[in-house]
Amino acid sequence: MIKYIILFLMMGYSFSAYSKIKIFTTTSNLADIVRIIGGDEVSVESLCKGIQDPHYLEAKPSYTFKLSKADLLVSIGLGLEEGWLPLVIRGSRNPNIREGEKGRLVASRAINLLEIETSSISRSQGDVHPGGNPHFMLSPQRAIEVAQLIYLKLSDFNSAKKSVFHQRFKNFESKLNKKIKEWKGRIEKGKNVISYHKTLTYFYNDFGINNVDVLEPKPGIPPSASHILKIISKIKKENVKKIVIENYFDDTIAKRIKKDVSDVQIVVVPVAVGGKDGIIDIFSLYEYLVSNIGTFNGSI
Amino acid sequence: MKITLLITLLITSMAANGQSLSSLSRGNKFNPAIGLNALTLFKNGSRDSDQDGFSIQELELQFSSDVDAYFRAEATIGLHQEESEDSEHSHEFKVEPEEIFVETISLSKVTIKIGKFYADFGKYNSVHSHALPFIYRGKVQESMFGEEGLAEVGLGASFLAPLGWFSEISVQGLQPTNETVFVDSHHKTAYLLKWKNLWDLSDSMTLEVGVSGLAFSNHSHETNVDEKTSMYGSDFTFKWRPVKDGKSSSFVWSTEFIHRNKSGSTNDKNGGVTSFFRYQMSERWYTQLQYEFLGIGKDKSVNDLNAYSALVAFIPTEFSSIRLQYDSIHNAGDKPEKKITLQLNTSLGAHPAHVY
Repeated sequence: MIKYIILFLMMGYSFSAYSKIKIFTTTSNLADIVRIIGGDEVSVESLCKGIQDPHYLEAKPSYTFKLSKADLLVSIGLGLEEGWLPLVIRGSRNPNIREGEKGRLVASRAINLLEIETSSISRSQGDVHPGGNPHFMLSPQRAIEVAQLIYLKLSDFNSAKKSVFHQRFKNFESKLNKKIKEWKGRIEKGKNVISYHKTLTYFYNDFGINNVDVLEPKPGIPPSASHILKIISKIKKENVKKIVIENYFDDTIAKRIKKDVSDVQIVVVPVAVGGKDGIIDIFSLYEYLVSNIGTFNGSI
Repeated sequence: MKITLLITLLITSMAANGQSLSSLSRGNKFNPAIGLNALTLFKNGSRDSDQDGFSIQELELQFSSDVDAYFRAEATIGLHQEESEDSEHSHEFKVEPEEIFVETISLSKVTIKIGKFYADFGKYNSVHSHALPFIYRGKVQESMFGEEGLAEVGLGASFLAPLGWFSEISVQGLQPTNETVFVDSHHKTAYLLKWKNLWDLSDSMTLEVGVSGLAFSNHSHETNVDEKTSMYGSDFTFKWRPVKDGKSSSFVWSTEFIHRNKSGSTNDKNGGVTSFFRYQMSERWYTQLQYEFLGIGKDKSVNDLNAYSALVAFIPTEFSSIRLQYDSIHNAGDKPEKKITLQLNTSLGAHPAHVY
């Protein structure tokens, strides 16, 4: 009998020693980086689907249920998930994933951020993120910084695999740096575009594209008629070639603008892995953005 | 009035204290998140015409913060105008601590809560006024728990059951003071049990089903009578929000049934059902319809009540909304009450996420 108990306990130990680190991320872009670095040593799932806007998720109890089982939660921070994540974490009754604990990684904490608000702000300016623009995962350069954070965090969980995680990070860094060089060669710098929201700020910054305005008069506020007239005037004056619509926003207004300015191109793009058929990882996402936003030949 | 002045002074002194601390050493990072929800009304009804016109329905001042590594605390102070028959005092404000509680944050699997809080009975009793689906608390809720809901001082524990879906069990012990629910007896404890389940039918659809029960019993030596209250309820809510274009269309169907049996020196038995639909027409516009029936398992002497409500909401941001509601309330024997209400709901400062 004792033999069987010892055998059972050993089996239990061996399962726990080799069990995967259970990771949840708030966005599918973060999930893909975790998948690349974590490989077979992790299981990972994103709460937000690629087609959803992470600002506006609801605090579903099913997320609470998932996070109750999480070893690690990776989030963006900067207030992006403020409307739902705190409630989900509290409901999960999993103290290990609270901010500051071992089971939590807030990716924005170690990123070189853009649009940090230094002047005084109020809600009259819309849904602003005073700590900086939270859409840094659309910068390939910053994705490398996030991958490094993830490699270090996973090494905390499984130090025996640190060298494996490190090697995967180096491979990712090297592959992405090569692609960045290639993409920079393909993108026409200095062109003017207009977006719906400031989602692609980091992408434009990495590749030298000028985002001269956004269709939202203020973050989170739908376009008004007077603002659209201002945009139409700007498109003509500043020779804007493209209006880029993140695919979780309504493109009706952009189509309406095209009626007035027929030579402007409307491009609807995914901004997260899984946001469109064929966007299966972070590389295919960046490739899609480069091909559809960065090249202007024949687009007029 | 004195109380209002006192609260104002208290808030001012807290702010001033926060300021002085910030200038000393630790900044304002440790100050609690502070939010104020203001509900302003314009009402015109076929009854109680002296209460027609503009009024402040309620002000809710909310504070929340982690206390230390083990606890977080939340306080909601409600200020609302008295609906007194005494015309001299009918516009005075009453200050009431709606909720003031501390709960654990460091325990795994379980949350322990202590203080004054809304009883976790059914789907809507624990919802604050600014987050209610309609402008007024439903007739069934009002009849079962009183105008301000059932909030008592007590101790609660809740945990997720080890099942393959979201399944939350909540147990609470409450000190009974609510006169609508309990016969006056402050030294006995009422016990509450709730089981809430939610399933993701797909990425865009959820189904929530809950059952609740409450029991209170006390033998009064003065009257030699057993004072008892037993309540039970069930609720289900279906929600649909498509994964694509989820910001501009959604649908909710929610139904709640509650029955209360109060016996002893006074006997009062009644039950009711509330059911409503909400349809989101575009990013900022919603429409809602509600039906309520009160008179299930009731005493013969109690009349049935049927209430119909229709609401249109314009919600420009998560911090403000304008809602227009029409109510038609039919209480057997009386002429139906009809009223139309316009509400402006504004939120200043911190605005914690709403429960799903």
